Amino acid sequence: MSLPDNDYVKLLADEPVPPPSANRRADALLKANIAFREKVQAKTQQVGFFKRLLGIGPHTSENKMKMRTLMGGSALALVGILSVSVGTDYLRQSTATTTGYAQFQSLSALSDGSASEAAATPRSSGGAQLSDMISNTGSRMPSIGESITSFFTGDEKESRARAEQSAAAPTPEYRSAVQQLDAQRADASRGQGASAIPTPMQNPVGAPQFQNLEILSADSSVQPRRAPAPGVPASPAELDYERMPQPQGTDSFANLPDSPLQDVAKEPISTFSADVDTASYSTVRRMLQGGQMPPPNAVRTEEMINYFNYNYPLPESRSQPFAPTVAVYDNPWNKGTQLVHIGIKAFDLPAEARPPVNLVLLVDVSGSMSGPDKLGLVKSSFGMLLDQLKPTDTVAIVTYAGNSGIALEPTKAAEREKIMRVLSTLGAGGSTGGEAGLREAYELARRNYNKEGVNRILLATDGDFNVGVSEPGGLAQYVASQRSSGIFLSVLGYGMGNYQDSTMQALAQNGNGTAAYIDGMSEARRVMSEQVSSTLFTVAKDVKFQVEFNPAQVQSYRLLGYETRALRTQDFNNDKVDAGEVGAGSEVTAIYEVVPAGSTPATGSSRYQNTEQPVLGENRIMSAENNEIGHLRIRYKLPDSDTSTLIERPIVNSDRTDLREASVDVRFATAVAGFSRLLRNSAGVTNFGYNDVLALADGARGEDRSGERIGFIDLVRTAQAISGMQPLPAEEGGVAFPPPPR
Amino acid sequence: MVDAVDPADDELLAKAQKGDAWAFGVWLERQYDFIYRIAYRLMRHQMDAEDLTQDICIKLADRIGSYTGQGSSRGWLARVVINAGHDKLRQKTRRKTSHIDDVAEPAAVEASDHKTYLNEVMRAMAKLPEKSQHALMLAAEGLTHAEMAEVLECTAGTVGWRISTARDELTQILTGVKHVAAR
Repeated sequence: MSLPDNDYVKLLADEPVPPPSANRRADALLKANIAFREKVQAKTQQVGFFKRLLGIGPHTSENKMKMRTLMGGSALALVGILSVSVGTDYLRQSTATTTGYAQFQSLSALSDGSASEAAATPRSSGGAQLSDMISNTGSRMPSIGESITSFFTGDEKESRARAEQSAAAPTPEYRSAVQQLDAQRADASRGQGASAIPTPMQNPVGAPQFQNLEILSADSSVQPRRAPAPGVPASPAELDYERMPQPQGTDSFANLPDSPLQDVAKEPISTFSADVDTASYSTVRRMLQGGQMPPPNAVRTEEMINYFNYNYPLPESRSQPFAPTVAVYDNPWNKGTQLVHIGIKAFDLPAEARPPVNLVLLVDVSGSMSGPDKLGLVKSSFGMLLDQLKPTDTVAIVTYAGNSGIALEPTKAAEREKIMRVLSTLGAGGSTGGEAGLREAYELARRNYNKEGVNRILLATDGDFNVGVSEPGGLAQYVASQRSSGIFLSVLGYGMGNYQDSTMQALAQNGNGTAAYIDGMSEARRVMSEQVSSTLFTVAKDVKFQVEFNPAQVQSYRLLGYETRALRTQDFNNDKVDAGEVGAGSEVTAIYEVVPAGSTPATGSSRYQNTEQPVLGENRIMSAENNEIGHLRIRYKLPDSDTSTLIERPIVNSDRTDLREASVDVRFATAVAGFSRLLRNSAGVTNFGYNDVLALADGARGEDRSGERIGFIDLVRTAQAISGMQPLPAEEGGVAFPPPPR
Repeated sequence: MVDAVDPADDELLAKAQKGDAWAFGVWLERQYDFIYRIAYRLMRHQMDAEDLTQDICIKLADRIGSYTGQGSSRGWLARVVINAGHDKLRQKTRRKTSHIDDVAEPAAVEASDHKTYLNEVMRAMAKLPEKSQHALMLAAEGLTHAEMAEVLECTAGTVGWRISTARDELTQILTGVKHVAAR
């Protein structure tokens, strides 16, 4: 043997390591992601449980103070009480009685809000400063991050130590440090947060920054984003757009300015198409979590609202896919006006009643799709979908990039291994030839057409079509022409950076399908697993809404959202006009802002203000006609039918309710609508801010099994922090909206 | 060699610790190869390494909070892998199928000189103290001294000494000659 070169490190480094199998890799990642999601879900529910137990209401300043007092004086005593009262039903599930203590920890962490989150998890830039600042204050508060951390580690000692730390009341220094932290956090996220996914467009030179952040947080009484001058045209969204931080990269968004206020005397009828897409919420969430305010046009109010599950009553008979739920109540963000809430819920299909599925996955494997948040996520999300299919359902895979091709001929879902193997070998590269891919997919779906079942193409892409007919219009036309063949197209959007929202919208709307934006594993799980029936199974198509307002009761109205879904009055009864599809188990909610009759005539933005509640004159209330606020009509077609059915229902005075007494679903949807109004910088939002959204949403969490509502609350806090407009959650923070009774 | 440290990784990790499932997914996907490579070096068998990597991925979903944010996250992760690997190897050894046997048996296969030598080194490595083994392995994986310090539970300054000691020990076993390092 030759004399050994003692550079063993090099020797070892050069030793070939066989690459792991793609299947095992995908499997391991999927399992871990599911495990993580379950962990977080369990965590969320437990925190919620403890909050309810203590009767902690919304995040009002009083409640925060209450919590701090509790923590300061009687943390230990409380834990004692908790263990006793909770012991029987909660701790039984826990492995150790001390878990109660850790839970109390998370609870206390909730009370100090998002501000100190940044402290616990210093970002790579400025992280050192952040931690310094915190340690200098001398009394360190635990954060959500930490308590989740201690939950994950289950480290009892650690939790106990943190509880003791938290027992110290926050000092003014602490608070001012937190204040600085908030600003720094916004700073940091401006530079860093959005780049969590490195894209080639990372930190583009021209990305506008939060220039006036400092000014805003210095004087919180100023609310510069609102207060449009009188006479401002009804499209403030467009005007404000330029002042907003722009998204990085080249995402493009399709939306229109807010619908204008319609005068009932001139335009008594409002007609629009159903929209069960949820893409906008996921997009907005991703931007906010990346530290950016979304551009107003990325916020489609109806998709924000319809993202969430609502437990509207189901129709009594299965012959009708849904029944409308209506509520009328005072508008929390615009005194003197009211909201008309219309919701429908479609019945769900139990697994055994699901029709057979002929699915073609059309996967964009162009270069822009590389990365774990795009192609990587496509693979894992289709893996989840596969688990939801019946063994006899078929799946085919078509890819497109420079060349389109069939990666997998129609294959029974029972051959999971085979399908997964093909999926895992897909790699990104080449340019996008969307049209050829689409044609191939339709062709394959047609060849394998199942008359009895669902025939659907699921297109997974970032929408960056750059070869072939790449105009959204051209592609949309092609998709529309295929609709009559009974093959539907749904679009799953992935990735951020050059995500083409407008293309997605156009394709899905024309393809009788829905558009969802998948921003991560949890969203993939939601769309592909938990709500797979609404993703795949349409229970009603061409669903149209029409509301006719009674001029005796309503002076003017504005539909919130659905700007891209407006229909002409005559389209309602025209069965040839395409409209939105409603999937099994999904809900559609629409909210109108209405100005009651008798209000001050509209002049600029002041029209909303200082208007008294309309008092119904004796002469009006006598008339049956005047008991009606309006009349709701819904038209739909069953999936295999070409003629529509009409559901109608008057909207009457007995639908009026106090918002605080309305159902949790109505209250929650209102919170989401209000949040959208804020994000869109909409006109006519007065004395209403993120705190009000939080108060409203927190009191309307309901059962929230999927944790999506608490996720919303977290998102509102993020928006609040980013916007930098809100005063810190301290004593002086005002709360405009009274917390709903619980 | 592993990829250079991506500054966004720690950010993702921090988000994941706060319960952000998306961040966890992306972070883990980025770490998969890193975990697998160390796992392979420990287990010396692809399927074993894949099994171990999967166990670690799932374990991380549960225990991601065990990273305190102090020190390098890659070092922390490497330690998680090594600890998990040792548990697994201990089980295997009980069944007398240690990876050393796998390495020691390829005589039947036509092996190149280089491969013979490599096997020899591997067998010799197995006789080193654990920390020396880890030092060589992690250095081969391209970890920085700061990252290795995290795993070896010493200061970054001591890491260099550890590696050179490990080298000397290895040379001594291979040649039977006590070699004084002259790095």
